[in-house]
Amino acid sequence: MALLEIKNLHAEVAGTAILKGVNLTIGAGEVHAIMGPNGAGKSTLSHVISGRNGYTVTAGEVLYDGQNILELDIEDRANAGIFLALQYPVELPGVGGMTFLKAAINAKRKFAGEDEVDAMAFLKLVRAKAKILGMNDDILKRPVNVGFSGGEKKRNEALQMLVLEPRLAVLDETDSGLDIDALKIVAGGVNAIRAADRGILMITHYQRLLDYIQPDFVHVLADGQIRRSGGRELALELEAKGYADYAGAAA
Amino acid sequence: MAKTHNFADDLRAALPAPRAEYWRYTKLHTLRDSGWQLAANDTAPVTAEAIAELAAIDAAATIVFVDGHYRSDLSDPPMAGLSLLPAGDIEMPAHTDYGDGFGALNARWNGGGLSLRFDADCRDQLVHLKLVNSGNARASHPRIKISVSEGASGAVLESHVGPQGEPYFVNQVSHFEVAAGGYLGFYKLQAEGDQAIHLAATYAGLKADGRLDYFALQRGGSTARNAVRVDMLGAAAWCRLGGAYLARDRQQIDNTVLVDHVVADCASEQVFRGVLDDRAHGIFQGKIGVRRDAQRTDGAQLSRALLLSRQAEVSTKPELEIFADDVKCSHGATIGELDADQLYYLRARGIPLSVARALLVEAFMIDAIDGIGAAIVRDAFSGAVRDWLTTQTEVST
Repeated sequence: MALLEIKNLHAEVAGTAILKGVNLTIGAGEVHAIMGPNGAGKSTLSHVISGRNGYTVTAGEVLYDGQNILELDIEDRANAGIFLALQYPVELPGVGGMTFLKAAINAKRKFAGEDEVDAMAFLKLVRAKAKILGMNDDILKRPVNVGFSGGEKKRNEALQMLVLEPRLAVLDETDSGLDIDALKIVAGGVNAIRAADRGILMITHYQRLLDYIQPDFVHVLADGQIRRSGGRELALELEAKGYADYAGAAA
Repeated sequence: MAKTHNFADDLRAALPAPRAEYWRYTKLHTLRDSGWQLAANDTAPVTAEAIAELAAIDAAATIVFVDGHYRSDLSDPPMAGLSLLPAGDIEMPAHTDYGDGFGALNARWNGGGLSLRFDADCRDQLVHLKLVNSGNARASHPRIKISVSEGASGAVLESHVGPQGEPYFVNQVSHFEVAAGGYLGFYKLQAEGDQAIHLAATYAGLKADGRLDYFALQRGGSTARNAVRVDMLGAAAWCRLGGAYLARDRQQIDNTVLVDHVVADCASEQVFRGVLDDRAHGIFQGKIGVRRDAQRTDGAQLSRALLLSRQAEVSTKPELEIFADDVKCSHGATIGELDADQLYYLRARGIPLSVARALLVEAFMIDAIDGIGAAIVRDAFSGAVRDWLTTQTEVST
């Protein structure tokens, strides 16, 4: 059974159709990249998977481990193992980084019928993961994302991903706003969770990220549908030719 | 007020006039109708829980009142440098600011009080004043005076507790005097029972270089009003009036603050935050007055309220009355809801909606509480906010 199976997914935002029949299957152990021009529906797809309010599914289904998740609450999808790294991570004034991570990890444990995490074990876990991303303790004590640079915010998303160990990670424009050094570090974090039982879906406008996280499959999303699928070479072709071939798709 | 021998008549006479400016929002009909019993100076039994409230606070002395009467049997002897005076007739300034007669009612019917003075050699000691209520429809009139001697510093934690489900009425008057160069940290936790009516009026006078760090956390009572007036009487005096309130059900919680800049070169700040759920009503009335001679005054006021329900309500009345021409005064008021993007972000990390809401409310309040000067009080008040949120989570699930 595929880890994620999206079938004929149609979704709209404020009455405007954005996704117009997306089909996509991600098997365990696979890394997929979705590329496409602005306005193609890339972010909408990620938000529909996570369950964000304001995105209305009008047809189709999203199966995770064979179960249709479209009726599940946002938090239940997350606790089932779906993680979305946001394009624009939200600032949480007054909520400390460690408090946030602890609440998240305990929510996941409670969902799985486990006891709350031991305070020392938690600290050790977070420090170990933060080290992979070159983050210091100081940033973990600060309120989540408040006053963070673009690179710090994306690293913080990667840290949450490493701590929560999802089975399906969806990365929405994780490369946007990153300089090359930060990009390498965040990519290192993503590569660290690549595993035979995990799936990764990267959503990106540029080929650049794929130099550091090499996908098994590349798809082109344009005007709400997957227009083309292929291997890594497709990303290179897009880099060379741009999305001009798909611009007419809307017509 | 014409003196009678009848408390009920005096209470009726003390009620504010129908159009009293400072009583436009807070309604007192439950005060009018209840059959109050004047609290006798007996050894009213109080619950162990009430005594245990905030017991972990490491204070230099804990002083207990029950139903408005000082109880030496439950209190610590005062530490060195702190004077405790029996105060049958503590002098209080005239207090007619708000168009009610509660100050006079307190003066007429109080059962004594307490005058506490931080002597000149006092440095940063914390005194815990614990005002415990036994319920039983009792009406009490605590009367407390706190003086800080020249150059001295001290802090007071004043906590108010009482039983749930029982009406009682507290009508307190307090007076703070901070002498030149003195510092007073005053922190109030109003955690009365849910049927209590709590009215408190505080008058503070600050002399030259005198400083007051004031914070009130209100979360109890069916109707609660904390009125604070500070007179800036000497040059370079400073005060920060902070407040946080948490209300649910049909609670009315009122903060009325008034800072009167009488002389030049003083600074004052009013910072209040409230969280209102269900059909609760929060009231913030804040005034900065700057007299003709009070040049170079620096005054600021900020009120922020968070509404957790569509039926919750907040009334905000900011007032600036400025007669001097070289001053810097600002005020602002915001009313908002929990941020949908923040809630989404927390839920997208698996945190259930109820926990996500509690985290964000706590963050909103903690931001205000972080301004409290005394670390030990800051921690206790953060805990009091978390307690309130925990109770809420249980109720709503």
